[in-house]
Amino acid sequence: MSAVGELASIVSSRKKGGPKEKHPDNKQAAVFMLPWVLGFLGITLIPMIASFALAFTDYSLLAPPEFVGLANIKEMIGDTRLHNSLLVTFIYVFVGTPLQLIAALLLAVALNQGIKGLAFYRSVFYLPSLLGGSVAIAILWRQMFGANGLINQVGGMLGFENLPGWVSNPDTALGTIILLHVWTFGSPMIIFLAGLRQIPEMYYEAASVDGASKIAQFFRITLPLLTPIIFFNVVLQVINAFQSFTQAFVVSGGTGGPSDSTMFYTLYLYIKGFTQFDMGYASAMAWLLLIIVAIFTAINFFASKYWVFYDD
Amino acid sequence: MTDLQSRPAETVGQAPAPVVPKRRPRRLGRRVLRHAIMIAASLAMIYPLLWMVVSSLRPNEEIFRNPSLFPLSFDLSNYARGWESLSQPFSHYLMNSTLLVLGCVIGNLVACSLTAYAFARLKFWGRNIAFAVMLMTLMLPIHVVIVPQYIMFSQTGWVNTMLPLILPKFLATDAFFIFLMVQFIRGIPRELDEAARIDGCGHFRIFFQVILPLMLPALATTTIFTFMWMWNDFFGSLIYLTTPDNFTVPLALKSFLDTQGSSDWGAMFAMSVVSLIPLFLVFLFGQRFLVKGFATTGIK
Amino acid sequence: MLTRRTALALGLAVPGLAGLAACGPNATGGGSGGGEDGSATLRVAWWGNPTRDQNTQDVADAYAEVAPDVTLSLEPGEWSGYWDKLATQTAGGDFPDVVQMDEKYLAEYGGRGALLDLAGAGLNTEDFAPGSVEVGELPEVGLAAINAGLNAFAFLINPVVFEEAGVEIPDDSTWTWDDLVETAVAITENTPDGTWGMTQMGTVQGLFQVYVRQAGQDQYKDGGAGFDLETATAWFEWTKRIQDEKACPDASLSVEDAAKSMDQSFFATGNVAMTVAWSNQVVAHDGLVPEGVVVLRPPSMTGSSADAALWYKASMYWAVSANASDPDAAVAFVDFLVNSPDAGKILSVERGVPGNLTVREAIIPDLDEANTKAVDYLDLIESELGGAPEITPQGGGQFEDILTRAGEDMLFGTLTPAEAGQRVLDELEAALA
Repeated sequence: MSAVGELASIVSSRKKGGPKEKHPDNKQAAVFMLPWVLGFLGITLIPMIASFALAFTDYSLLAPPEFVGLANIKEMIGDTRLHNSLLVTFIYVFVGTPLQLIAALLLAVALNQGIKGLAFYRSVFYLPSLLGGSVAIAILWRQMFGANGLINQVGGMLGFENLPGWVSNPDTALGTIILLHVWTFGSPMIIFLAGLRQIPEMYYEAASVDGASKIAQFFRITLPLLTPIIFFNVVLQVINAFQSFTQAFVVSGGTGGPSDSTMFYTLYLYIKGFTQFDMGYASAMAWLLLIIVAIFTAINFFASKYWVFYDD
Repeated sequence: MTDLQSRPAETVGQAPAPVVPKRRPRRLGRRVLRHAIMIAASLAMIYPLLWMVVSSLRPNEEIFRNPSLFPLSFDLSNYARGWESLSQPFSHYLMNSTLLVLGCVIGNLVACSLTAYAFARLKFWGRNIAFAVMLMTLMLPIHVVIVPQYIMFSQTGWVNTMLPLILPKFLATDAFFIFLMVQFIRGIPRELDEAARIDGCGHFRIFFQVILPLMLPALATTTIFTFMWMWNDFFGSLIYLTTPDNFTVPLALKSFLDTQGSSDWGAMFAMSVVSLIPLFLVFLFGQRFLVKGFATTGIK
Repeated sequence: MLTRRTALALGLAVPGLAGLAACGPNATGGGSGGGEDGSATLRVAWWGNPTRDQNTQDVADAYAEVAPDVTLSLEPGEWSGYWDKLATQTAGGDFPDVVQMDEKYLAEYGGRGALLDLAGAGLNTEDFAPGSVEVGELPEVGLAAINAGLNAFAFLINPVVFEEAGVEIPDDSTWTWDDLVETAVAITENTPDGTWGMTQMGTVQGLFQVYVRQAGQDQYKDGGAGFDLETATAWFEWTKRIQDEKACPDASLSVEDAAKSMDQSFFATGNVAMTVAWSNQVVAHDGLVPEGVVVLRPPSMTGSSADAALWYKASMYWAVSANASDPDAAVAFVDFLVNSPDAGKILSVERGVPGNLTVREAIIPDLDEANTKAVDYLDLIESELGGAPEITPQGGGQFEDILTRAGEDMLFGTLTPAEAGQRVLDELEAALA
């Protein structure tokens, strides 16, 4: 049986249970789900509800919250710094995430081939992610992309004169942070690699017997079978990118500067909550973010019906 | 099909060698080119680490004057000073971090895999809502959740212990890994479960004997990521751990810095390098399990 | 079957948790108890660096001999993390017993009832320099905090760069803001590219405060902004002028410089001749510059340093929690920190020059050259001080950020000086509201 044929048969074997068998596993699920239910009720739920309630209060952290109704939401509508931070975050999410995922996928596929010294390359490509949000990297990044930094020195040797200080220029600072994000592609790459290794060898063997080329195998076996993992990475990287904090925080020294050009949404939220003692406003911001991220995640899930392939 | 269960993943080591490629090896030129590209890319990846190591061997005042990797100085005093200059020897912080990370890894492996199995394979009441709610927990920034959470934990008297950081992992609060494992389990052909079910296995045996061995790559990923994230975790540790004898590595590293005065950069770099070693070892060890997963078990 | 499986699933989790609980270090968080026999446990929190951490550990050890019944639980931190943690602890009712406090946040905490009135609790402040106790007073509280050291705003000179440029170091008893710019321009012109006379000081809050005070105003007045649009605009015009005349690096380089740590700054690397700092940073700068720094008074508008309108600022404070379980023990420890010459000798001037003159007297003989510069500077300006400024009101902690953003936007050309002045006023009023 050809691999493709086999896939088709798996798809068609999806069964739909009648209403009676809709929840046949309730009892076992109660056991499997017990830790999660306890954790959700005991640890996650209360802080979530609290943060929602705090969105309607004036809460300095230092004194008890006071109910202010929709004041925070009204303030958000007129807060130009907040609007700017949304814009910065959207650019980061929609430029940085695709670039990072494509880099991760390509390298994962490359590293999954029979090149010698694979373990070495895998480790090396993962290094930036190990260092990712550390102070040392922030310093190095500022230095490399400074006016007299390594990048401009190399640029100078190639004949580019008068290059700007990339991190300190409002027009280019965000770009350097996006680059830092793309550069730490190690985590999605590892997940892709794990996913690639999970694809049963038998499909490739069958395809080779059928005489399918490597490229055909990639598009007809690898990609379809990897879609659940691609989907996971897209969903999670979008969720994470919307909440990106550490890189902008360490590179800009916590200011989001110059001129708010790297003021990410969560960085602004953090500044509001902790340095301006306005946790009520920060909570309202958090829930706006949740709504935005939830919409994009829902779109992702909806779209996944058309391109993600499951074996069940 | 059924003999699959009697073949646990541990036999992977003796699995037959990968299928011999049917085509001749690529031409030498292409292989050299490939390696050249890989090596060039590797340099861009490894430069920061080299810079960190080189900086850690330089005297404090030279670190920022000299952006290049040469001339290489070899001054180990940063290491000696970094190890000793905080209120505890640095090994103490490494131990604390190890303890924290081990707890979190075990917690995530156990709790997330159980939950993921339920989401991926069981049909139960409220499953889709629970899954959506679980994803929602990923969408709130930590900065607004941590204060209410801190207030909760301060009632229990667990502040300044690692319990507020570890306990949640045992209760499957890390939705990232649940979702990850769900995706992996859904990638495992359902025929395998069905075959096991025909043999009379319940869900628990299917989970332990069929699914767990097959999701080894996902478990390895979870281990590596949990290790890495908790090893580098700053904000949670900052809020919950208050006295230096309980500090983890990231808190200790921050102690070298003074935003308003002079910082001990050399010591900070030296100890950063030291603290990278366990991370890197775990990665090297863990990635072997990324490779030896399902693919090489040779299902026929 | 199910029960056995249930037990198995739980069995995986339960021993794990029990084991971890056993591994957990003894909790001291949240609890600090006072005993009837005079024994007490005090949580002491501060931000700092390894040197200060060591000093504080040493002073705690010394206190153990003075008051053996008191156990000190020390909680050091790093500046930004310290405030995140302190705010969270306050929300959770876990405010430490004794905390190091900053002027920027004093009113935030004191005004919301977190701090004890030290005067009411009987802290002895007799030996403090005149005017140095008042910097810790809040109307709602009384003496909310006692300074752990004093500071004043200063110009720092790298004499090597002046020498290279062949420019004389100005006389700080007579120089004006114009003299400053002219000196800086001369240095920029007489040195190779990449060396400037001064740093971009237009976004430095301390110097802004010097400027508005010399204009007869101040940062804050009656809890609101204490300066008007005219002064703010004049300030930004001056800021623009030093950039336009190339007295300082351009906007992009200045932003880069401001984000760097002190060790990496243009001043430390010998690329600028003059910068500004608080006097407790003299020591750190002194070590970074080959021949050491020269400390000058800021320029004045009249050409007389008597009109420089400087003031003593607490470099940091000690404060006691209003909810301390044993306030007497906490105040006694603070008393030891600020009034005991023994403690002073251990702490030296690392937190700033002691406000307690007896303590200051006791430590001066042991100071090294760099520290002596800072102490001498405070002595020098003592007779020229202007009136004490108002303590930063609630919300004023944002002012530095407001000033920096408006200044940077103006320097990058998106705002005119007048627009920048207006924005600073608007945003400050909004923050203070």
